[in-house]
Amino acid sequence: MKKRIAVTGLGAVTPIGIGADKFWQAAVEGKSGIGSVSLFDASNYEIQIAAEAKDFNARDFMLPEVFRKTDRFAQMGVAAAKMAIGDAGLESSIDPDRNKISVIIGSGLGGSLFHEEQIYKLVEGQDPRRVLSSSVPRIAPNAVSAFIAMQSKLRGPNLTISTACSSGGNAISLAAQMIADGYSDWVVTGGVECPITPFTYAAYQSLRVFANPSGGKAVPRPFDIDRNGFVIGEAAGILILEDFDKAVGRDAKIYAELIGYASNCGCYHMATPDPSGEDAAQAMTDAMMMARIDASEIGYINAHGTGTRLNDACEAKAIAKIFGPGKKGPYVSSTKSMTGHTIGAAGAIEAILTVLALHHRVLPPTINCDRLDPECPINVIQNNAVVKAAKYGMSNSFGFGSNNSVLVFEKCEVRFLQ
Amino acid sequence: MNTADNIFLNLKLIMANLLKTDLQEINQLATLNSKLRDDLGIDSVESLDFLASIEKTYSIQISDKEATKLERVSDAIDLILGKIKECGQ
Repeated sequence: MKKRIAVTGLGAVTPIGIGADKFWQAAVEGKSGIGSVSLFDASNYEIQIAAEAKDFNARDFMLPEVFRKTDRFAQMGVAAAKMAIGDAGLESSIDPDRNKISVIIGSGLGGSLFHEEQIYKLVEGQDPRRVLSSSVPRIAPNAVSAFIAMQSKLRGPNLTISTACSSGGNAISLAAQMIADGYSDWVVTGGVECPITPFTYAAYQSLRVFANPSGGKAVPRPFDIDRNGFVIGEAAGILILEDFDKAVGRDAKIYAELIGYASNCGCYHMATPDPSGEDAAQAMTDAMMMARIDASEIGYINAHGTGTRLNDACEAKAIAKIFGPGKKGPYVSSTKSMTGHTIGAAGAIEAILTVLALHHRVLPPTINCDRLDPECPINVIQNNAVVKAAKYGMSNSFGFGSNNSVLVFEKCEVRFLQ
Repeated sequence: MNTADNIFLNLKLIMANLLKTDLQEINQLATLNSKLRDDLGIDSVESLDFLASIEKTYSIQISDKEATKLERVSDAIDLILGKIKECGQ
């Protein structure tokens, strides 16, 4: 990379905590965010659980005119961005050139809730002329990046990345590139998703990827021998990436450095991972190559770890191939076991946990992983956090369409002022 | 009976729904003289939803030309009264 990238601000809206600190604390404690669906009436659905951000009150973070013009996903993004920008001290400590601040956000689905509501009315016989004109600006996936920019007058490039479950990871990669190549000094980046809506939930249910809790065991159960799917969740995770030299120059708090990233396409199937794990392994290798570190130096991996039979086996195969099997490899956890699978937000909230794991020297657990599946021969942190100082951490995100994204962070030893 | 008072009340209900607020707050905000954009904060996109709700409520159609002339709450009431009269409702 031509310029070094610092992480100087974090903001999160998640099923287990609002704000990066509460999110981190809950993740270390192994708190589950899974509960009954309350965002719509799921009484006639086969599966009725989700990971909802039940403590989120959008009105706490924005003016009424912003609240009423936005879908839930944009509201979560605006809230998380506000927290991250505040955390970075971007507006309080300096007067930045706003043309050099970009916003790059990942979202797999955009404004699903409002979209679905309008479609139902039309299908039920409503006059097409009665479809609300405000639908278009609410539904558009880039509503989230636009509203984030409008709140703080961030006038640099404004982009939305949509690559399913790797959207957040890819958005962060592109944000890093923008800084490395000198297009931006700061980027407000991350991922946002609110997929707990009647149609979207039904569609994923039909794909038979949802964990079924009917067996009496807590779900989801990433890497466990009895895993049977994922639990869908909603979240927003925002990171402030900053030109490292500028961050040092303004004496900013630096959580970590983003030293490597990679993205590729396995070209295998739209909804099924390549059983060989080769494409995932390649992305991990490429990211480490950019970071100029050896596999033996990675101390922690925040896995994609959805909890489906296929994903976890393929990912574990890829990790074991690169890092060595079992305890020889780095510690691995799937924090989706707590947050659920938040689709386009997953890569971002997991990047936040990876950064905080390096910083706090504590590695969050994979809850509900009671018996490790022999098909997943990796060093999974089962049920309890591990106190361990890791210098380098990796965050994996693998999306539909064989779309893979990997980020590598380095703990910032020198300039951490907290 | 579609009197100006009744129409004003209905417009307040429409605005409360549009602005995601309650009737009590709208009663404080909206007078006959209130400007839709400057005083009530109804922006260009929201004004289209406002018109659509009026059209639905009164089974009338408002042309683009008529819509551009709506500046104040009283303009909307006058337009609705005129349309109702035209239709013989």
